[in-house]
Amino acid sequence: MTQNKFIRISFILLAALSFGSTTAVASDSKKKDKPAWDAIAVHSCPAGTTKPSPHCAPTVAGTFAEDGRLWLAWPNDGHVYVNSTTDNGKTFSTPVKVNTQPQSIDNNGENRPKLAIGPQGDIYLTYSIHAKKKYTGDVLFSRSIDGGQSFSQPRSINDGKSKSSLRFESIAVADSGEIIIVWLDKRDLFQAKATKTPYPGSAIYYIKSNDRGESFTPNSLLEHHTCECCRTAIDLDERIRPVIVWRHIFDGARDHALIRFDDNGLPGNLQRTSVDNWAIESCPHHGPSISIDNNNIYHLTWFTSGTVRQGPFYARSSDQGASFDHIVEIGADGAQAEHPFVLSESGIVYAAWKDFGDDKTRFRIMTSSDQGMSWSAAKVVATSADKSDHPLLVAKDGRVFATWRTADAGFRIFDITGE
Amino acid sequence: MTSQKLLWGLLLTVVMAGAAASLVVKSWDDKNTGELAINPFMKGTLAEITTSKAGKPYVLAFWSYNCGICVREMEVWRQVKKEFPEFELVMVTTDSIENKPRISQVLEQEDMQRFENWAFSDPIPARIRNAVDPKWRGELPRIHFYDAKGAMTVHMGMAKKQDVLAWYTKQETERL
Repeated sequence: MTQNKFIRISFILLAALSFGSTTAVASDSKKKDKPAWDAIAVHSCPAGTTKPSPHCAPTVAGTFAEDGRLWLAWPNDGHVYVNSTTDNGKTFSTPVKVNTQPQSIDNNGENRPKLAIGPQGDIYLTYSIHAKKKYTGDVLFSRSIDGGQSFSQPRSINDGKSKSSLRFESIAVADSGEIIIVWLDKRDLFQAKATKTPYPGSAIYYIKSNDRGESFTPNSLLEHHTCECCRTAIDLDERIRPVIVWRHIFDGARDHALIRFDDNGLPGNLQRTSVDNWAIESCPHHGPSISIDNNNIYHLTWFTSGTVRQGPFYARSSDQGASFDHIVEIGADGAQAEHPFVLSESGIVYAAWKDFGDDKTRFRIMTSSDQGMSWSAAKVVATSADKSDHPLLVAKDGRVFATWRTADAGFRIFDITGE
Repeated sequence: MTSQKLLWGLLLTVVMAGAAASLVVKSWDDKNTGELAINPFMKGTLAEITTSKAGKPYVLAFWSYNCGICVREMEVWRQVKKEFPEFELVMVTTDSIENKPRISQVLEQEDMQRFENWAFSDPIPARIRNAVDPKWRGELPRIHFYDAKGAMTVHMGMAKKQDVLAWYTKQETERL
């Protein structure tokens, strides 16, 4: 039996099993307390690779450590694995399994396990899981303080004070070592529902840690009424003050909002980054990306389909998010440009996205050497005729890399420095 | 039901489903699997559907199990169907047909088996989206209202029951 066939048959049997259990539960307790979604979907490995491997994972997220090692987090059959590479993906360290019990891990392009590195080399991991109740979730945190040899048992970042659903987290570490995690949270929605009060969308919450993730501040509200199903984004103003971006609901319009923390570590005022006027009750699954450069210029990418503009866009702010200008549509020369990602490094701004061209998915980039005021023509980094993850960029000491996992070629790292 | 009976029932279901499943190994994407019929939706499928349904009004709704609003919207479709048993709805999930077990689970839980069901079947979903509407990047729900003359109106975001009822009543009136 070929491995492929074996996987297929196992999957069908698994499917049969899940149907069986669904029927049994449904007949007794109707729709209450369904088992959590099986997160186990088929993710094939390219030829010559075997699981567990980033080559076979639906999503892979990378972050560089100070020593130049690229750490990777990726889900595999209900577990999050972490490993690293020092040679741009030619070889990988042995993966470390983080959660011992399998979980239903959110592993789509919009919501994936992700890493951040502390100044002492600590590796912090966050990921979301589907909870038992439909369309609810939880965000878990784990850390390694021994250089990635072992990870702590993941624990929920929900401080347990309210019934909630947590998803779409982002994590960052300031140069001081302070960790911040933000996420979309439904506790206020649930409370409003209980009292039959209207509550559009979700809320965005945050926690901080100043002891390397040993303990966190209480869950704190950042803002009410966010879109429910788009990734959040975070970067640091002067490597100190967290700047958070997310899709907000402004009187029904799902446009983007930004909050910058002040010097006292408290959230500042909410800024609307653009008026796109996308008034829609929908799940775009298309969140923003932010990168702040050494001159404190904020670079932002986002997607909208509002009455003002439609498509993926870039804009820059030279006043810490108070206003954005030099708005440019990304990938306007191609079809289906989606999920833009932005990264500034050593005076060059890189924007990456994927689109559909020549009957394939294309990973494309463009660059700006004048802080986002003008852009190069778009270039194709790689193409795939198979399933693919969203495009991501990582940087270290002036070098910039595009990382991309596709079902046909596995996980690849492309040096795009100065392209 | 005693727990023993439940266990036997469960075992039997698993064995039967397993036996049925083993027969369809070669045709994973085939709709005749003995389970809920879900047809593969490819880049040319929308054109095929609109051709086959020409001459009558119907609604085509794109959804996903990752879209809570889409699942909430299913209540609207059930209610419209209850008021107008002739109401025709085509459900298309943008989830890959490879995830059929999970798609079926949601459709069954939401009592949506009575409608015509399709699932995206392409490793590059953008290829399908581009054929449906080059402007569409996958945001959901997305609803197409087709009148008897084949003219189509797109509604982005959750449909409201009263709007769908008003639309359907208008279609029926115009046909008389």
